[in-house]
Formats: sequence, C-alpha cells, structure tokens
Amino acid sequence: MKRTVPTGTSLKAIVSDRRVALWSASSIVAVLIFWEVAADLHLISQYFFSSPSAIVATGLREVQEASFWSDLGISTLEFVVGYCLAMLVGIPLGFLIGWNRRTGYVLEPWLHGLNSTPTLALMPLVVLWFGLGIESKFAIVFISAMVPVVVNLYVGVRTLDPRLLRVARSFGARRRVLLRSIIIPGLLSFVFVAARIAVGRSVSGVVVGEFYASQSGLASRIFQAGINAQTSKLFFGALTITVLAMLGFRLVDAVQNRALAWRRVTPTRARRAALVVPTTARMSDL
Amino acid sequence: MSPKPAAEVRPSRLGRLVNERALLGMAGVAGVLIVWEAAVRLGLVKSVLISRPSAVAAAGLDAFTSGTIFPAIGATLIVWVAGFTLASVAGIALGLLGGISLRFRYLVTPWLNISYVAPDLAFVPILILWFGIGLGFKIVLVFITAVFYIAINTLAGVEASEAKFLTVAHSFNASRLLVMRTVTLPGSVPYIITGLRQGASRAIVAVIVAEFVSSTQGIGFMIAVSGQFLETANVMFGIVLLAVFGIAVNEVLTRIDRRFDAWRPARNANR
Amino acid sequence: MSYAGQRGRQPVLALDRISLDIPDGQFVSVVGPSGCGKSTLLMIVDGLVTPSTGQVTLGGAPITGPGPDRAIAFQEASLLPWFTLLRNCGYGLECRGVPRAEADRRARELVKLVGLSGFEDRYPHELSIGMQQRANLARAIAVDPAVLLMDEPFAALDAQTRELMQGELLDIWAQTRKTVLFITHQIDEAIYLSDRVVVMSARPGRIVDDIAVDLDRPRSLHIKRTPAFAAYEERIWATLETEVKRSMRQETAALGEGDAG
Repeated sequence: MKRTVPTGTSLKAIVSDRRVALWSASSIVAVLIFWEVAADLHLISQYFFSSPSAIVATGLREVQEASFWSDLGISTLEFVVGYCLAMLVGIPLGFLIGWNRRTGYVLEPWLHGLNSTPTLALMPLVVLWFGLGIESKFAIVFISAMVPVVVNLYVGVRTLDPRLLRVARSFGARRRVLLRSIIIPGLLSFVFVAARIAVGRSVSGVVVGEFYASQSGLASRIFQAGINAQTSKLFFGALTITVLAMLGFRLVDAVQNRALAWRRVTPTRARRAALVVPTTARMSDL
Repeated sequence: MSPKPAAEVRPSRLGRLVNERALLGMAGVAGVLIVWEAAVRLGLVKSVLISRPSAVAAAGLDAFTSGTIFPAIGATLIVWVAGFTLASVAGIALGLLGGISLRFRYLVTPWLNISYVAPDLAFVPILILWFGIGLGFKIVLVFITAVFYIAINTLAGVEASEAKFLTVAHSFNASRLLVMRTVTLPGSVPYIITGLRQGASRAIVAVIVAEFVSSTQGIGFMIAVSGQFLETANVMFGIVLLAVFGIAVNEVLTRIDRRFDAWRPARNANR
Repeated sequence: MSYAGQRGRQPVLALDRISLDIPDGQFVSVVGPSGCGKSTLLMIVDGLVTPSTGQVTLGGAPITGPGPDRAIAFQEASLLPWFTLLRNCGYGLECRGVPRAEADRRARELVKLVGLSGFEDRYPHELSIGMQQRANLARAIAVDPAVLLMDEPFAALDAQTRELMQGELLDIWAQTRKTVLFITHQIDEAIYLSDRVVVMSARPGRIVDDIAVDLDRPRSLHIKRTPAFAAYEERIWATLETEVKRSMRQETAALGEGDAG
C-alpha cells in the first residue's frame, strides 16, 4: 500500500543550510578555545586535562619518534588484515547462509546469538588460541568485524526485492544475468553498511586486543601513557586512532559513492543530511 | 476437488511456515551442539582450546549451585544498568533538545558525528586517569559508549518526523510544544528504540572491556581470570551468559519496537 | 497463431474454473473486484505460477513456464533501480542473452516509441511514476512477444496521465498488433482499450460475463462520451457491483480474523 506523506521542506531548513556549517565549526572551535584558556589560567588541572597546545606540542615530538611510527604501523596492519579477512570471509558466508531459505533457518539462531554477543569478550579465548603475538590481534579484529558482515549479508539476501526477481524470472534470465543485474547490485548497499560497521568494530578490536595483551601498537602506547600519567601523549594517541578510524570510514564512503552512484541524492538534500546515522540490518525485520 | 475457502487455507499455510522456521532453527541449534561435542570428545579439537558444550553447561551449573556466579552477575549488572540508564536519559534529552532548539542542534551535531567515528574504547586510559579504576570509571565508560548512539538516533528521529509531518502541523497552526508532543515525540519513538538497542549492546561491550582492563569482580573479570588459568569451560560459560543477556535485552527492545509497528507501515511497505 | 483453451485453478488464491479463448491479435481486458485473482490469472498465463488443475496453451502448445512468446508489464513498474532507463528498457532482451549493443539499439527504438527520448541515461528514481510505467511497457514490448500481458499498469497514475497513456497504448497496439491481456479495475479503461471485456467475480474468481466491445477503431477520447460506451459501462457495472460488495465483505471478515490470530 502506498501512503502519501507530505514532505514539505520548510523555508527555515533551506535558509539554515549555511548556518549548519557555521554553527558546527564554531561549536568545535569554541570548545577548543575554552579548553586552552581554562588550562592556561589553571582553572582546570593541566595534569588531568592537558590542553590543546600541549597536545599539539606532544604530537610534534611524537611524530619524530621511530617507536610512534612502528606502533602506528603495527596497529594499521592489525586493522587491515583483520578487516580484510572479515570482509573476504563474511560476505560469501552471509550470502551462502541466506541463499538457501532452509540453510538460513537452520543457522539463524546462531547468527542471532552471535550478533547479540559482545565478541570482544572472546579476547581471553583468542589469546588461548593464538598467544600474545600479533596473530591474536588479527583474530579478535577478524571475529568482531565478521559477525556484523555475515548478519548484514544474510539479511540482504533474504530481503532481495521479490518484484525484481519476478521480473527477471518472467524474462527468463539466466543465472549469470540474474547475479549481475539483480543480486549483486541489490546486495551492494548491504555490503557497504557492513563495511562501515566493520570499520568501527575493527578499530575496537585493535584497541581492546592491544589493551588486553600487547607490548606494541597505538592502543598499547596509549595504555602505557595512561600508566605513566602522560596526559598529552594519551590524548594525542587517542586522537591518532580517531583520525585513523575516520580515514577508514572515509575510504568506505568514497568507494560506496562510486559503486552506488545510481542512488545519489540531489546535492541540496545531501548537504542537509548533516547528521551521520549509524545503520544496521535488523534480524528482527525478517 | 473444489477450492477450499480461503479463510481455512491461509492460517494452516502460515502455520506450516512458522513451524518450519522454528523446527529448522531448533535442529540447527541441536545439530551444531552435537557436532561440537563430538568433535571435542573425539579429540579433533583440544578441549583446552574449545570446551565441550556439556562441560560449559556443567561449569554453568556449578557456578549457579555454588552461588559463586551471583556476585559477578551483580557487579556487572549494576554497572550496566547505572551507565545505560543515565545514557538513556541523557541521550534522549540531548536528542529532543535538538528538536526544540535548532541552534542547539547545530551545536551538538558535529560532536555527535565525531563521537560516532571516535573509538570510545581508546579513551579508556584517560577515563582511568580521571576516575581511577573503581565503579565510577566503569559507569562513566558505559555511559559515554551508549549515550551518543542514543542521542544520534533520537535526533535523527526528530529530523525525520519533522521532515514528514511538520508542514501538516504548521498548517494547523500548532504551537511549538504541541508539535513536540503530538508530532516530533511519537514520530521519534522508533528511532529512539533503535538508539537504545545499539546503545545497550555497546554498553555490554563497554562493561566487559572495563572489567578486563581494571577490575576485581564481574563477568568480564571472571572471563579474563578463567582464561589465564586455562579454565576454558568457565570462559565460555561467561560468554554464554553475556550472549543470553544480549539476546534478552535485544528481545525486550524488539518487543517494544513491534508495538509501534501497527501505525508504522512504511518499513515493510517497500519490500 | 491461435491462443486457445485456458483452464486454470488455484486452490489458495481460488481461481475457479476459468476458461478463456483469446484469438490472435485481440485486445482483451479482465475487470473484477480487488483480490479476485486477476493478477494470478496473468501470472499463470506468463508461466510464473502453475495452475493446480487445467492448463494454458499458446498456439496449441501448453505453457510450462515463462517463455519468449509472452512478456508482462507489471503492476508496479519494478524497474531495476541501479540501471538507467535505457538499460531497463533493454533488460528483457539482456535476460534472454541478446548482446548489450543490440539490446541498447532495440531499447532506444522503444524509448522513442513510448515517448521517453532524452531520458535514456536517467535512473528510475529520477523519473515520475508515469515515466516509469512507460519504461515498464517498453521493456515488455522490447522482447517482441506474441502476447503482451499487462497487470493494471496504469493503476498508480493520476487520471489525466492515465487517459494519455491509454491513448498511447492504443497507438502502440495499432502499430504492433499484439495479442493483449490487460488486467484493470477501471471499467471505462477496459471498454476504451479492448475488443472484449471479461468480468470476474469476487473470490473464488470465476468468469461471470464476457462482452464483445463493438466500437470503431481507431478510438479517441470522445468515444467515452457516446451512448454506446455508456451502455457498456452500465452493463459491466451491473454485473460487477454485487461482486465488489461481496469482495468488500470478504476483506472485512479476513481483517477481523487477522486481528484475532
């Protein structure tokens, strides 16, 4: 059933397009200035809160240290290996589980259970399996990123538009045409949602993996800074990880914009959608 | 054969479908458990690496009958409930405030976007520095992890329901507060629940990580310690507990969510 | 070619002893209350649905599945959202293994035929519903089927666009002379387009009337205001009214049950 809903764009919303950017920027700048001034005037403790200028100064020192770069490299490697494995295994796995309706029903409870399990809690087991080396970090990143990928692909396959499938069947589409014209394009948006979630999960995996058992990597570096109460170094490290995560998200978005060019919205609407809303496929929708 | 009246045919067909799904699901659970048990018993997998389902069950039974598990459950639950409740109240309030004041919305939006990208767990050492390693730190971590998801979704709900229905309300000359009460709030409810769902599961992760990093009690602590003593069955029992809790929370929120489906045809309409 | 001898019956959706003979080149409309199985009938003819008893034959050969001699224009345009208009129009050909270049060439002709020239590179969500329905029609005609099956293709259009589209469909039909089986719930649409109107009952769907429409072709919109046209409308509505009421009662009852379960 179609239901018509008035989707009026209020004048206020159009006018506010430019204001959004202005307010957003000033909001961030204001907080930074307040932080700096309050720290400089000793209204807040430098020891606990550092200050933007101190963090920048620390950052400039950090980037000259070889150990910073090797830690960065190790964390990046953990992320890349775990993430790529999760996508390479998770996409076909979710697809295969969903492809046959019965197989789907058989494995659905396990998917549901795994999806509700905080997979990072497996870290002690992962250490048991892979030891304290970098392999255990690969594994925890892989496990925690793979689960949402499998679930999203599963939901994607099960919710392929039956009307489009019927069109293809009516025109007698061969398997290859069906795959190329309906199944793969239909699943792409789910793949990208999964890819985005997996970025977040992978970063968490790297962080927790290194906190739990590691002598190297950015998160481990932060942890060490925390123990030594080097607040600026701590902030700089957390910031670096945030920037890395952001790069990951950006990369996924860039690929997505290319692959899903057909559903690009008109520029005005894209600008208005200032808020990034995290989305997940929901098993309960099936 | 003459065709059966539709009313007679349809429920039985639907019934068969539901049964098929449930039956195959149960078969799947049983089947995997049996294969798993057999694989460990036959020595295909070392039991120190992956425990047997029966051993995990025995460990669980032991933990419950001896009562040793209850303080751990209590400790974890207190942190989760406190952090998540605070996050729910604050997150919904933040989102709705964004619905009342556009200026406030523009102020918080960049922070919400950053918070989504920023790995909250990377800030654990800073929180420890600020709050020590006690209850306060854990609750704050849970709060921070969950609050942004809830706020983001609430605000998204506010924006979505505004875009859809606000012109109608305006054309009736509704007052700001009335719009909030009759349009924005009910329209946002499904989004808020989505936020709560995401926040709740992130909060579980946060509790466990907090307990991994610094704690002497709780399920996370139990899992970590059992891991160090190679008590695999206990580790897996702890994870099962968490999974059950995660499923339960998810189920409760799904039930609440479903209640709003009656007047929300849109989600299923474009399938 | 002759299109002969159809007997389909579906216990669940309840098409009851449908028997219909359609000669080559005839434009036949089926009208009936909602839920009477009109669309199912069409799916059976296309081969997407297998009748539980009886069979459909096309030119003497029984239909066992979708085939190159038939094509459907679906009720919802169901264009592939990720393909351009041109590729969507050639999609039926692509499904049948026609090389892309050839499919594009043929699709371009049909885009022109349905009046969408200039929009070849647009994506479906950039087109109006009316334009999507034209593309839907073009996609079906592109495969050059002997029988064109149309499932309420104009139902989602506004009244003016619908009348325009009806006129264009008649033009296209005059050029191609295909056998058409057209499902609708608009009585005037059925009469205006068809050589023959078949009226179906509420569930279980049976054929309750079969009327030859003897109006001159080519037809223009004026014909809708002639007494002859009004007489056809009168006759069909008389049969249909009781069926529609019955169908509404069925729907209310079904909804009540659904709430209880």
